[in-house]
Amino acid sequence: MAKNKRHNRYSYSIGFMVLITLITIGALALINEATEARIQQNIEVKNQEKVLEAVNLLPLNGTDQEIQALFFSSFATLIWNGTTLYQLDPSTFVVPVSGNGLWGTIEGYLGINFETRTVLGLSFVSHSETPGLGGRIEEPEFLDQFDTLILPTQPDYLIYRPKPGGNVDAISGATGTSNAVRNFLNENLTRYYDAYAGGDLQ
Amino acid sequence: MKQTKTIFLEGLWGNNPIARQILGICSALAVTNLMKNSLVMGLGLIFVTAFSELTVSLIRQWTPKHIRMMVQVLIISAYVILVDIFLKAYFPEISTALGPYVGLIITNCIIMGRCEAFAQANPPHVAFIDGIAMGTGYTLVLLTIAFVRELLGFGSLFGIQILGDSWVSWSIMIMPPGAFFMLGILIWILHSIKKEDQEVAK
Repeated sequence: MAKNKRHNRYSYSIGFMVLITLITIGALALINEATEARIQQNIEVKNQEKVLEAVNLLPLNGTDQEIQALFFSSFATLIWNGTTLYQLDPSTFVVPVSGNGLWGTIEGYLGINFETRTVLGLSFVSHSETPGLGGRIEEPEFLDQFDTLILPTQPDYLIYRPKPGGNVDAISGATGTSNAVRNFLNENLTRYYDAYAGGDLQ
Repeated sequence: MKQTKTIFLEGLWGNNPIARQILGICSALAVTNLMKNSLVMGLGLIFVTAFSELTVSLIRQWTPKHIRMMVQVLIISAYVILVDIFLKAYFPEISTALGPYVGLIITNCIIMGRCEAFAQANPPHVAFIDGIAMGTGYTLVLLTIAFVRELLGFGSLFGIQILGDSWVSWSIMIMPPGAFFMLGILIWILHSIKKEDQEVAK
């Protein structure tokens, strides 16, 4: 090992470290470049799954190709104010919803029919809530409440039971996350409803 | 050949990283609620330990002694990033399930410990075999813990339902305390057996 005196010189150590760093970084950069397209594709499919899930169209155990084919045959995309909306039929949309959770930004999709005022489903793409507490927003017990949920005619659209007019159950033990989700969903719903009523989403 | 056998016996039994060296406990507690996650984690660790030990051993003659830790960390992290990219590209679901734990393979003391204790002082092929043996020892302990936890906590093995509907899942087994109980009991049992071994030898 370091029997050789020159191994203990600073210049040798620094040179050695720089060299080995360049080699490893070079190798990783190459591998990253080679798999970039595939990783992007995976992220895209995941996103399309979440959009389909928001209107309960996601097939069980569908392959990536099936999911992509279904996605492209089901939706027309619509850009409104810089956000991409997915249109299923003239009054049914999947809209991206996002807002501040307890710990970080929560992002997801909401399927909604504006004419019948019915929420068709909700799915979350990313969140950083506490696993086992707020993190339970992505479990079926919470999400399934939004399958065919008829909304009141005025804001607030979502109200947690047992408040009068309540239509959804909060997650017990995760009041902070539950309230955050309700608040940003209500804000998003109000915004999209106004846009729809104003004829912007045609 | 004889040396290979000795190294494997050491890794699997005599000097098992978890049961004897009490290294890598953190990840052993975190990912063992499902057999599948444990297996992937174990395979990742075998790969990273084996190749890190190989590389560290290959360059050991040229590595200045006072910066060897830095060099080891650099090599280990390069291999961990490699595993992370590979999972993201080819097994996105497992990548999501393991979440931050893939990146945390780098902090697994087994790798650093073996690089420092073994690879620094042994030729490359022996170090490589030692990495595989230690990784396998770790994987076997993980799978043993996961076997009990998944069976009692979900009533399934590798996601396949084993126990019937009448089985009431022990939810404590899939939560962190279940891992502590299991690991404690396992290490206790292994130590008791080992002690008898030694007494017989005397």
